[in-house]
Amino acid sequence: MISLAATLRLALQALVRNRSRSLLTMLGVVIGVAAVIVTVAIGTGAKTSVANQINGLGSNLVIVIPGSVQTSGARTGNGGASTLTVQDGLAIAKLPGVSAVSPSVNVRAQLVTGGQNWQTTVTGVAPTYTTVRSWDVSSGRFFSQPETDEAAKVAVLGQTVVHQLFPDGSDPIGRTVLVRGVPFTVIGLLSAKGQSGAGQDQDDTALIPYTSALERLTGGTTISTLMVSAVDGDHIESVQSQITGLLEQRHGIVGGKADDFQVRNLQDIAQAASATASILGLLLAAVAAVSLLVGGIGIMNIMLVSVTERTREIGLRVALGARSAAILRQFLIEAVVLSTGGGAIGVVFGIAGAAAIAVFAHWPSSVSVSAVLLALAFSAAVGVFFGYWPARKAARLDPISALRFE
Amino acid sequence: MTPVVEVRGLRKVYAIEGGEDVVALRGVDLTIDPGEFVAVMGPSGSGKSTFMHIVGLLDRPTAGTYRFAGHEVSSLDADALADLRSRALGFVFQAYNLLPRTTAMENVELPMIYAGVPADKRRRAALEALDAVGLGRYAHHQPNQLSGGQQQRVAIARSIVNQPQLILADEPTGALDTASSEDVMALFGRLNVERGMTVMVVTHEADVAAHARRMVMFRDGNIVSDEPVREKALV
Repeated sequence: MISLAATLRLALQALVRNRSRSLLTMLGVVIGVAAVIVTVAIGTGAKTSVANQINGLGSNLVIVIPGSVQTSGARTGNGGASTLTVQDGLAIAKLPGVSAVSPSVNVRAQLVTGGQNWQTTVTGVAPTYTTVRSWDVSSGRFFSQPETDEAAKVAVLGQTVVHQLFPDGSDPIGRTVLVRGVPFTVIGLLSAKGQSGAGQDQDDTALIPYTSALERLTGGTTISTLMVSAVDGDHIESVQSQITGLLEQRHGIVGGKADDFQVRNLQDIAQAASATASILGLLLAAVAAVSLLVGGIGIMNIMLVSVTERTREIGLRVALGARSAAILRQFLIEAVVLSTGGGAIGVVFGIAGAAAIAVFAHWPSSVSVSAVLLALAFSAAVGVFFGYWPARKAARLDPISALRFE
Repeated sequence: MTPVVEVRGLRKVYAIEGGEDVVALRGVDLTIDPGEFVAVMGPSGSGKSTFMHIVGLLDRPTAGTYRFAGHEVSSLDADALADLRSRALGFVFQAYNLLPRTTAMENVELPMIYAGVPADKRRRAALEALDAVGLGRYAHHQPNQLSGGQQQRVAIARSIVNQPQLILADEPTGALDTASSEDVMALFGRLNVERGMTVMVVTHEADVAAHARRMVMFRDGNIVSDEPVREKALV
């Protein structure tokens, strides 16, 4: 009885005898597997890219706003209550899963400098704001914790405000801007952020330390919003429920009483966007799978031709004492070698292609090991599946007529 | 002495769909002893090819018994027949049937691969068989680098490499010129005389059959004559 290793050698010899045809047959699987790997990489890249953009909005962001209050029958809307304090923010910052907290105190105010003036939203925030909003300065610097502690009169301006107050293009840094008559020194400019999802111009703003806003502009202790950043997307749910529990406790809300605050996140947007990216990836993968299938049919086609062309050889092998199982195995191994060989070459091309696309599209392209293994396993399966019929045809040939075949 | 081939009442009937059955062999009795050199002759359609296929274990008789080296083989299954072919039979065909783009050496090794012979033993036996047919120097030539006569001698080396109990040659000179035919038949004669190999050659040429020592004539599915070849008389 012939060993598997010997059959493998016979199969390889047969493939090498028809070198160019073997390579051409592999080509279908090469393209199929390369396509699978490239499209999976594109899909992953698109998803990562979308995720990065959403993170730019602050997808890990949890926003706490004051709730509604009822005064002699009339209810204010959300945000109407003045219940959220800086101390709430400090307590939230200590929760597990929270990476940064910034309070935000919004004041509509007239900004004046030299001959120009402009009304904008002045927002009092903490230095952590740059982390929470993933928003950095394009020049100058953001204010520091000591400046926040001493309620320093410093401001960081959004690009729209810069254009309105300094239309001549002069450098605003170091200049003084009056906010409701209080002089603030401009120490930095925010990078341009564009419109928000709701169409607001996010650059039409000026940031000052929240302490300065409370002491010098509003004169109160309550804040408009708490922006909380979770360490990652997976922690958003737990952070939300912890904040709710903590604030209910701090605000003495028990039993069925309505909360005087609301906790929200931007996950819905993130989920919708990543779902879109997933569908796109799935679509590409389906197209790639079809090309792999076509490659498999190509193998079957060539193997059938090969069985017909090698009829006399098969007859000879049977006459020399090959069992039909040995013939079946040899042809099956030939098909599997063609498909996995094509798969291996396809992996190399696929990784190169994905890298090239990553360079041109500026995408974080990642070829996952699982995608490579899956493509290889699938190409081997293609060989077995599409090689079986031709192999069985070869094994069932009648040796006498096979030997006479012209 | 146990006969190599012993057939009794061998019949072979081919069922033709929508037509009359074709009777290829009508009860053939024949015994071939070890060391014999038999030529099987007959016009086409006489049943000699069918007879060779059954003797070569490539086909089964419709009726009758076939004892190969003392063992009843008409009831063996396909795998057992394949194993027996790889161990005990050597085939030579009209068209040589060598694998293309494969060296003479590798071609000769092929039957041993199916018989499960280890590689180092295969190489030695293949070289020895090529020496026996006078082609030791051509071990690494491929078929397209050899003449027809040389290719047929490689095929003969392939048929003897497993030390078979019977060599079956089906029109071995059919594709060769006269000189090469003489060479090939003389080679069979030498293997028979010097190595005591049992050879059965199927041919329709009388001068080819004259190299054998016994001639069996087929006609219409029956053996019509079976007699020793008179030395030199027909040459």
